[in-house]
Amino acid sequence: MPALAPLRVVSSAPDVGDLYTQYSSYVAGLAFRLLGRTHEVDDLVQDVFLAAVTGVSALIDPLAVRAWLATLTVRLAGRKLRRRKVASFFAFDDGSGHDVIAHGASAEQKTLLGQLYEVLADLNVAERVAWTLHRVEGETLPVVATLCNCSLATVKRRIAAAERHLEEALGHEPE
Amino acid sequence: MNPNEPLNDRVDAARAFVSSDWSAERAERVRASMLRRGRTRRRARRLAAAASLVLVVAGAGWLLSSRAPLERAHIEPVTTATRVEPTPQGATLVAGSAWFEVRSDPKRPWVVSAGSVEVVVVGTRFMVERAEHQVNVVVDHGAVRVRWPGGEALLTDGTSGTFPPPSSSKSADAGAPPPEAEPELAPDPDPEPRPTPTPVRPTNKRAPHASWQELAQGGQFDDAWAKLKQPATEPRDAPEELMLAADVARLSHHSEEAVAPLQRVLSHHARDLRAPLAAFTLGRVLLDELGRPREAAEAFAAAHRLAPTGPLAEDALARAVESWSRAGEAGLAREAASTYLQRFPHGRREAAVRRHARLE
Repeated sequence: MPALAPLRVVSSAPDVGDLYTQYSSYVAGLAFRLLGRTHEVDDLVQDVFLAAVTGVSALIDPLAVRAWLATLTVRLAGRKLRRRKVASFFAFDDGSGHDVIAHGASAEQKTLLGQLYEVLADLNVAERVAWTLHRVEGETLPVVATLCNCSLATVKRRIAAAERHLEEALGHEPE
Repeated sequence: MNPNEPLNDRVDAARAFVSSDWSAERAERVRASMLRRGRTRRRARRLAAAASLVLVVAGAGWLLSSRAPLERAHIEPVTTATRVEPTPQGATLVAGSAWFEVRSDPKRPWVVSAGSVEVVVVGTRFMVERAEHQVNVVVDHGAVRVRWPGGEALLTDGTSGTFPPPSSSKSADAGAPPPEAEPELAPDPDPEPRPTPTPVRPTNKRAPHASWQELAQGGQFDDAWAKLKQPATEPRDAPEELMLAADVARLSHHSEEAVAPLQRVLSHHARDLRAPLAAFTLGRVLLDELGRPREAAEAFAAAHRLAPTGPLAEDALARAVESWSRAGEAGLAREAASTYLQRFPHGRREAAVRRHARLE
């Protein structure tokens, strides 16, 4: 009696070009919501997919690919935001310049989003990223923890800190 | 928008409108620019590689001895929550579950660490799943040695185990107050049954009066089979024992005899966490060993139905398509293929599924 045939489920790794076609829109959206500046999105999308080239062979599950690209996007966006902080320290970047695109939003909502990203610029990057992923991107806390590569408790602490800051700055609109 | 609303509510109402204006033209422009950057980066890498050739040659011996273990492995995460981190000896499964396929190198065993459990590989394909208190290991082909504080076991082709095994946890805890609940009986927030393999105890050397279970756990499947067929010896009606009996039958080349215990797991223990694995194994036996594709298709369908998001779900659906096709049921094969393509639009088995369902 022959031995059981092994389960052959391994296939070739996905092509980065295919990944780009499929996920560039998702990565661009996530990048934009994290950065708040549309002119920085193109660079970040390129960085994410160039970084993907080196690691794509180890991952072939489509669900994992999306999550993995999200992790790369969050990591690289965080790096960009930290550079922005350093630049603003030396007055090379005033932290403004957010051009939040919100088609279909009311005037008040557009104003709120504009103010929101201005206030987010003052936050610690880790707090900003966690809050944006949860409140703007709509990810659950466990997913945020995975994307930020930290514990659930840390994520909750960061989001709470960001909320306190935002509440102070934007919680009460002037009469 | 009411300015007196809490900030979070106002953000919730506004966030849906935030978009990146990512058009097809912009995507193409970025793609072209990215390809140019990629080429430049590759050229720079080639230059750097040439410049460091002397260093590479000088350090070749050292490099050979410490070659990155991930080069020998192919890792497929099963869930989005899966986290695998490379280590000098192999990888650490931080969370979730993943399939590992590792190229053989007897001189450098490859090790997956998952909490207190270590899975030592010579060359094989297997899955490791981190549960709350234990680690499940399923071996597709080849062999792995699983070590945990207080024991070790050998898992071979088509076998599986939960580690540390419940019995070893109990002996390790002797004298300590009993836990509030056995790990495997703890309430599961996710009611969906997940494939949980058969518990396997430490490998024992063959003893003259060893039971069929002990012989099986030591890899002595022919002897275990002989013992199991003795009068008044039969597996208890418990999933782990029924699945072990099925393993003994299959691996001692009595595949027909593996069907009944696996069917019993499905008929009497369908809510058990191991039921999807039993269904999947039954499908393999029926299709690959016994040439009964119609029944195999039903078994694979059951494996998928019992755990539609479990680690075996994709393979179960794909093999159902193959089974229906081999049974001459083109319509059912197409129906199963359509479900597969819907659930796994870019699945690993997409090409095979399309071929079997004649969708190409």
